[in-house]
Amino acid sequence: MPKYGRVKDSHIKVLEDIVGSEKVSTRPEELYCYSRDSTIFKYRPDVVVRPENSAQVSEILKVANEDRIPVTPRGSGTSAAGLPLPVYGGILLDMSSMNKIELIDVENQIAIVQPGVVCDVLNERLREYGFFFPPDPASSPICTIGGMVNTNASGNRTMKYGPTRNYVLWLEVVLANGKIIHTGSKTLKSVSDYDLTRLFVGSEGSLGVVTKVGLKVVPLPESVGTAIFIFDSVDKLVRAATKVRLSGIVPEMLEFMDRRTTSASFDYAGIKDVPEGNFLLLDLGERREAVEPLLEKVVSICNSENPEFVDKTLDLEYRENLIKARKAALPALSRLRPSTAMEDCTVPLTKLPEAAVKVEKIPEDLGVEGFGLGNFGHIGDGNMHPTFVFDEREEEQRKALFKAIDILYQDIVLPLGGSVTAEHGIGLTRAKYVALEHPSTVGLMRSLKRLFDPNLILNPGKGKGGPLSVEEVGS
Amino acid sequence: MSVYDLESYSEDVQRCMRCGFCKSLCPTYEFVGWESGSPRGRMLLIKGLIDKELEVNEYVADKIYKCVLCGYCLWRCPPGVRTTDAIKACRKFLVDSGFYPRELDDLEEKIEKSHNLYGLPNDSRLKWLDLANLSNEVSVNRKAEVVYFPGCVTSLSSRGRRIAYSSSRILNKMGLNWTLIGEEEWCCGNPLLLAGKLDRLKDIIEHNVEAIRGLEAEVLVTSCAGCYRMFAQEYPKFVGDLGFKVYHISQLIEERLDLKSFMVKDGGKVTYHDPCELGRQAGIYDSPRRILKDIFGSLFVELPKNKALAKCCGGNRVTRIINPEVSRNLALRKLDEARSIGARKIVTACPACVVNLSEGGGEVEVVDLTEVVAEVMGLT
Repeated sequence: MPKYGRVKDSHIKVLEDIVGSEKVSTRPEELYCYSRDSTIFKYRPDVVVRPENSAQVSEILKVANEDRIPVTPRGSGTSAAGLPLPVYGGILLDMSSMNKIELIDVENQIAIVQPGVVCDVLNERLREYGFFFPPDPASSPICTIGGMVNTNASGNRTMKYGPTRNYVLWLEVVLANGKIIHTGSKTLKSVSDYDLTRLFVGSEGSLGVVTKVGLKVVPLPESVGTAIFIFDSVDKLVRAATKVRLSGIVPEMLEFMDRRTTSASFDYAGIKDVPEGNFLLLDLGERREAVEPLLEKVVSICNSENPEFVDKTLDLEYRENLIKARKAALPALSRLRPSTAMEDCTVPLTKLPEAAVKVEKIPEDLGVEGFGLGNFGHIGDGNMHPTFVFDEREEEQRKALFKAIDILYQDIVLPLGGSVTAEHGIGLTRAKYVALEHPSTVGLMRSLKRLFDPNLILNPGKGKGGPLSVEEVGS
Repeated sequence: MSVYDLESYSEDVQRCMRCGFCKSLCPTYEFVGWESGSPRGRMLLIKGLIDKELEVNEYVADKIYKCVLCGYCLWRCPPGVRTTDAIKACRKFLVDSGFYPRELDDLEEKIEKSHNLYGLPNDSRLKWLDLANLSNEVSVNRKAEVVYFPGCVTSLSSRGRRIAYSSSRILNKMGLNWTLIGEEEWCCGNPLLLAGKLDRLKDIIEHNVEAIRGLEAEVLVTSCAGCYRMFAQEYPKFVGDLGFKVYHISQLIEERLDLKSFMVKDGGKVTYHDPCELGRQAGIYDSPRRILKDIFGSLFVELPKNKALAKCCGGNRVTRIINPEVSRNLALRKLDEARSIGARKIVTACPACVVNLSEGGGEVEVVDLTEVVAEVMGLT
C-alpha cells in the first residue's frame, strides 16, 4: 500500500526558502493549535506554512506534489466539519496572511480579494460605498472568503440572496501540480467556459488552492426592519415561518433557535426582555416606505400560530444584538455542556416540520445521560443545524454522538429527500454519507478528484468523493 | 484551590469550542500572526498545559505574555470562557515554573520594597501636593467619608500628576469630606496580577483594605481604570466584602456636577477612548460620555471602534515593560483612529492610557477626563 511522503528537514528548508523562515513553523505548540477546528477532532500537521502570494503557494504545491506530501489549506479554522484538519499530517497552509482587498469597483459591481480576507471586514469596507457581499454565515466576524468559497457558505441571508456561489465570478486557483489557473471571466455574465468556477466553489480544498477571488457585490437595501416571535413549540414556529414564506414576502433572514439554544444565546447577548422559548427572527431589507407595512403583515401572519411573544423594531442597535445572539447560537451552546458538535442538513421545505420533530427526539431515543441537543438554523431554506451537546471526555457520550449523527442523516434526512450538508461541506463527519446521497455520481466525483489531483495530496481523507486518500485507496 | 490556580480553568478552556469570534478584534493576533497568538490559540495552549499535552517552555510563555489583557475576547466569547483570568492564572503558573520575562522581577522588587511601581520612596506619593500648592487644601490620612486612591502613575509620574491635581480640585469642588491614604497607600497590585507575580498580592490587598477601613471611609474613589477594576473586581476575590463602595471618579462627576453651563462651543472635535479596564471589563461606558456630551455637545464624536469594541491603547504596565513595541504600535493606531474622524483631542479616563497615548506624539492632544472637567470649571 503506498503511503504519503513524510515531511523531512530538507522539505522544511525548501519551504523556508519559499516563504521565509518566520512563516514556517514546526513548533509543537503551533502544531497543537493548528490541530483543531470547531469539531472535536484532532489531527496535527507536520508543518504550518503561511504563504503571502499565489507564487509561493505554487512553489509549495510543486514540492508537495513531487514527494506526495498532503497539503491542507486553512482560512480561519472555523469549520464545523473538520475541513481544515490535516488527517494525514503533512503541510498545513494557513492562508490568513493573504488578506488584502485588492479592488473595490462598485461601478462594475466587483471586488477582488485574497482568500484570507474576513467576511465582515470586506463588508465593512463595502458599506462605505453602499454595497455588500450578501452571504452571511454566523461566523462572518472571523470566517474568510477563501473558506466561504471552498464550502459554498451561505448563512442568514441565503433565503433572499442565495449562497456564495451566486457571487463568485472568477477564481485564481493553484492546482496540485503548482500550475496557476484562472477560471470564469471578469464580467457579471459569461458562459464562455465550462463552469469551472462553480466546480471549485464548495470543493473543500480538494481540487486546488484558491488564491484570489473575484466577487460580485450588490447595493445594500435602503432600510431594514426586524420582527421576532417566541413560540411554545417548534412545530408552531415552523408553521408560522412556512406561512410567511408562502405569502410572497421574501425576508432577508428567516432564522430559528429552539428553546435551549435561545436560552444560551440570549444569556450571551444579554437579552433579558424577551422571554425564553422557540425563537423566530425575521429580518426585512426593503425600500424605506415598504419596511413598516411588511413588518405589520408578517406579524399578522405569524400571530395566526399564537406566538407567546411578538416584537418588531426598526432600531438598528436592538436588531444588531438580536442577530448577534442568533449568530452565536453554536458557541453559546457550549454554555450548556463542555462539547458541541454542529450538524448541517437540509430537507425539502414541506418536510421541515416532520424533520424538526424527529431531530428533537434523537437524544431522548438514545437515552444517554449528559447527551442533549440544541437546534437552530435557516428555516427559510429548510436548513437546520442540530447541535449535539455533550462531554467528549465521556466515552459513552462520545459514542452517542456518532450514533446520533447516523440517525440524523440515515434515518431522518435522507429518507425525507434531504441533503447531508447545506453549507458546511462534507468534511470528515459526513464523508460516509456521500455515496448514500449520490450513489450514481460518487464514482464520477472520485474521477474528477483524480483528474485535478492525481497524487491525492489536497486535503485528503474527506470531502465530496467520500474519504479519498492514498492511504485508503492506493495509488 | 487558591485564587488563579491554573487547574481551576480546565473547564473554561474545555468549553472553548474554537469559534474564533475572539480573534476578530484581538489587538495582538495581528502582530503575532500565528494561531498561538490569538485568544483561541492561547486557550488551547493553556488546555495543552493543563492536560499535559504540551510542555511548559519559553515559547508558550512568550505567547501568553504577548496578550495585552484588553478583555475583548472575554466580552466576545459566546461560551463564556473566563479568558483574561485564565491568562492571569497561566502567567502565575509560568512564574512558578520559571518561564517568564525576567524584566518582571524588577517590577516585583520595586513594588515589594517601595510599594510603588517606580521603586521611589513611597512618601514621594504626596509630592504632587506641594508641586500643585494643594497641601493646605487636601487632607492626608484623616478619617473621612471618601478616600481618593490616586494610584502609582497618577501620584508619581510627571504626566500622571496632572490628573491628581485635577481630581483633587474636583473632589474639593464637590464639597466631599475626603482624604488621601498617603504613604501607606501601596500599589493596588494590578501590575503584579497582570505579571503573574501573585506571591505578595494578598498581603498588598489586605494592607490597602485595612488602611482604607482604618480611615472609616464609606467610599473609595479612583481616577485610574486599573485601580478601579482591581478594587471592584479583584480585591473581593481575595478578601471578600470590602466594607466600602468603589467608584471611578467619572461616576462621581456625573452624579454630582452639573456641567451643562460650562459647555464648550468651539475648538474642534473631541473623542473618547474607553480604557479597557473601565469600559469592556467594568462596564463603565456611559458616565464619561455623558460628561463629555454635557461639555462638548455636538463637538463630541465617537471613535469608529468604541465602547465594547474599543481597541486597546497598549498602556498597561506589564505590556509597556515586556512588549514596548506592541504598546507603541497600539498607541499609534489609536491616535490614527482619532485622526481619521478629525478629532483634535482624545479624552480618556485612566492615567496609564494618558501616558501611553501621550508618548505616541502627534497633533492629537491626549487628556484625562478630570483635566477636561477641571479646566472647563476653572479649577486649574
